[in-house]
Amino acid sequence: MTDPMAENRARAEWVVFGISCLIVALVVGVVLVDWLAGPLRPPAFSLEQSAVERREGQWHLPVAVTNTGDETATQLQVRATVEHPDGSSDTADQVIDFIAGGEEVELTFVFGERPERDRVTVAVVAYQEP
Amino acid sequence: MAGTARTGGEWQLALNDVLRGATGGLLFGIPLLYTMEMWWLGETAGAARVLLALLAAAVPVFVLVDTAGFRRAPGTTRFGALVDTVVALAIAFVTCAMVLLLLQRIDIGTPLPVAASMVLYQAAPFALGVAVAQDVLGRASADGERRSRDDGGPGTVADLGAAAIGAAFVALSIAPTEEIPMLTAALEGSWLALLVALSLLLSYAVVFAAGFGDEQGRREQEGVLQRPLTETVAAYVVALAVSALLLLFFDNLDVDSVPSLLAQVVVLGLPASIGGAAGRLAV
Repeated sequence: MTDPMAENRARAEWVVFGISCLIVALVVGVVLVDWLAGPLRPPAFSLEQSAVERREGQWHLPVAVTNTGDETATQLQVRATVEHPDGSSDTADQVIDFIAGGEEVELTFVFGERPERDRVTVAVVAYQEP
Repeated sequence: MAGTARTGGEWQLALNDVLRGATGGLLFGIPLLYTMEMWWLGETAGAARVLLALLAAAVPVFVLVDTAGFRRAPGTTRFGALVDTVVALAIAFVTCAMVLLLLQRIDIGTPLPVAASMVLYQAAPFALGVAVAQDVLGRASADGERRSRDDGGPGTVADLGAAAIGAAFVALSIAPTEEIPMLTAALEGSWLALLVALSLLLSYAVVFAAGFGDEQGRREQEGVLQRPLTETVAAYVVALAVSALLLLFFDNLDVDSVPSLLAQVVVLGLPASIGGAAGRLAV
């Protein structure tokens, strides 16, 4: 004679096993599909400036950096340069430790004088391949 | 088995197994979840390396599940061990993903393949902890029960003392690292509140819900701070105090800003509270 408690227990364990199979298949599947999708594109970057804000007497310029490639870049150096009407210029540098393919990172540059949009250049100047 | 039937039957038992695996994994794996090199490895290692790491972990997990396991009544066949290996990996995936989300290492902007790679890389060693959960934490609990019977039951001081030692044991290796201020900087108030909730929930689960030991006996203790809820809260306060002391000792506490100080203590409080719960099992 079968023990109903043991039968129920086996059923509960099979349900847990079924859900576990789905979870493992899903996570491994995402990595596999990404791998099989073909060779990875090298890192490439797009930069988008937002509106400048004044805080505590300084000017904050938010910039969104997106890695439009597939491969990760490390030690990404981003430089913002402001040209002033008198010919002088200010620069500010930021380093992003890691930026994965498709990832977006928000940076903020801080300047002592208002950076006019047509006089600001933001560019990626260097990065490493891990 | 009468005790398990009392607590809600076979589904409760299956849930307890999962909970026990997750808490065992956390006890072993939480220092790695707080290690920045592990986050970066998950991001930068290619798919082949990540899958190889998983395969390399699956073999010892199978051996450990076959010999130790996370269930109270482990399967006796090789097929049963294979089933439990898959369940152990799934527990590791879900728990690692949950902690990485709470610590904001994975967020809405993280591309799915990158998030999956990070979870896989973290889950590989984490699953080893899942696989030995019952053997290690169950044995600690059994030793504790034996001692309790010998000396008439653990008192509040013994419980909280054990919580402090367990908390220090796990948090010691994390407290001096750069990850604490780094994680704190990325976490806003609502995420910190979730971290507090998870710390309390895990602490309660390890001692009173995961089925590691004589839960009924612990629930029937009479001290004011020995009821499940009050003991959980008191042990969490102890874990926070230990975290603050360790951060202070290693000169890693931002004493100039109260919100930042509290956030740092809460961030370290998660591993400390898990260690504290394991410590209480042993008394």
